[in-house]
Amino acid sequence: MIKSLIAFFATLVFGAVLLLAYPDTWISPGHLTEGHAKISANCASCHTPGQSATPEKCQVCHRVDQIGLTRVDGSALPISATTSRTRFHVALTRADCAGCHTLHPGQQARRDPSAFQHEFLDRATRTACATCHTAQAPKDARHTSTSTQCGSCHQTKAWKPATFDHAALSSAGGTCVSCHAKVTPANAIHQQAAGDCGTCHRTTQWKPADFEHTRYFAFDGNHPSTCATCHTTAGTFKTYTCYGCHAHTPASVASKHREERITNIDNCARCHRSSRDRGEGGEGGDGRRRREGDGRERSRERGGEGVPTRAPENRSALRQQS
Amino acid sequence: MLRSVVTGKIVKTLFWYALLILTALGSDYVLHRLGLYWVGRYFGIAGTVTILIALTYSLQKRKIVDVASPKFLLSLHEGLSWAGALMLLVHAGVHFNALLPWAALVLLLVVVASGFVGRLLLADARAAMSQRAAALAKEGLTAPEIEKRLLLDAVAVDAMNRWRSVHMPLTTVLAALTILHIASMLAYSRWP
Repeated sequence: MIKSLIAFFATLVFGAVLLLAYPDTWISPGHLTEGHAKISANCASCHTPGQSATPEKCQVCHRVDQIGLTRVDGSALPISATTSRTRFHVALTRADCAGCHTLHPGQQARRDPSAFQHEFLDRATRTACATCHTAQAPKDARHTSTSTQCGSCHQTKAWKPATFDHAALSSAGGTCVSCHAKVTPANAIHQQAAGDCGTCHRTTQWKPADFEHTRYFAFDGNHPSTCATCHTTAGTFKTYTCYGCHAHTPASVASKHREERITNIDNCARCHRSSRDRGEGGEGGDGRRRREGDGRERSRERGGEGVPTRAPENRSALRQQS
Repeated sequence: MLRSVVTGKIVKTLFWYALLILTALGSDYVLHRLGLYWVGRYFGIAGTVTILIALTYSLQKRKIVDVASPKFLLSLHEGLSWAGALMLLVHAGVHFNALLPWAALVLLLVVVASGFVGRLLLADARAAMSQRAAALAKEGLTAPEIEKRLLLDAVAVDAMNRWRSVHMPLTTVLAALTILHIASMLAYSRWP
């Protein structure tokens, strides 16, 4: 017991002497930076017991309004390289040097940058990101085409993830593909969309999309089909066929339509927009509409493309006109 | 017989010692991966308090306190010392460059090792040697002959006994280094 007590007190006293005599070796978390080497044995130069290094002690040598302009000995620094830094430190509303800096690079030359709080900056500087982030300012067209502040899309904590309001884009030209070329879907149905993404998708998010097959043919209990059932030609959704299912044989369909003197019976959905649609549209026996609506309709018929382009409600008008 | 007992206990001792270090390394790795390495600072406080509680056994053994049965306190001493040492090893993962915390860490490992020797090795080695001496006496060997036959085992037990005897002095030295470490942190570091 006595031996233990002797060992305890001897260590305590001897250790305390060592700590006071050689603090840089025994307790410093790393050698001081070169500029502070002269005060490496005098911890109290920067540290206040219980408070670490206080800003007041830092500012004894580093005057905030002179940071970036002059050295601590008063000699001038090259102004061109340091102007922004000067503005930065002056704009701080709260003095907390140790929040970002450490003088013991053995531990960390610079603290984690994420520890910096932008709330320390005054409002004007905080919203003018380029005051400090001059080198990081993006130069790509996506960013140069917008005139809004960085904060409209980005957070101060991290550059990503970002939110983006497409309304901020200038209206001069530009399509979705102008920016999203790398993520344009390559599958067949999207290749046929011809870049008009907004027909089905929204700018807020890609999914859910609202592709309305009903515009062409409404699915119902009789037709809960997969794409390939009707779109039998690989690689395209412009063509389709209704033949091949129970009653839809070319012979039976031709027989029924012959009574109406309809001969073009390959493009069923032009008249039948659903299984219940009786297709009372008007077609002549020559397979062409008796009165053609517009040029787009005409070109599709002549081109033999299956997908109709006219809205169903227009067909009644056609019927009346015929 | 003694050698086989001691060999088995050495394996057990090394297992617990290795488990301590590997668990500390694994915990430190996980904390760093999760960006929670700063939690290690608080493990220093928790580990120190845990080991202080474990010292109840030492205090009762020296009749300074009387709070529970010695057997219970010894189990508590072993368990809490192991857990406290683990927390302090994780605490050491918060990167340091000064000699004082390094010295405290190395001494901590030595103190833990001396505790393992005392608990796991010495008691069984003594019992095994006594049984062996009794067996030899039954065979009719005289005391000098028995002593001669058990010379190497006696040397081994004596070495372990000496090693265990440094457990308490080393612990007090570790306590002194810990106090200096805490004092320097309070004086020069910012909390929390």
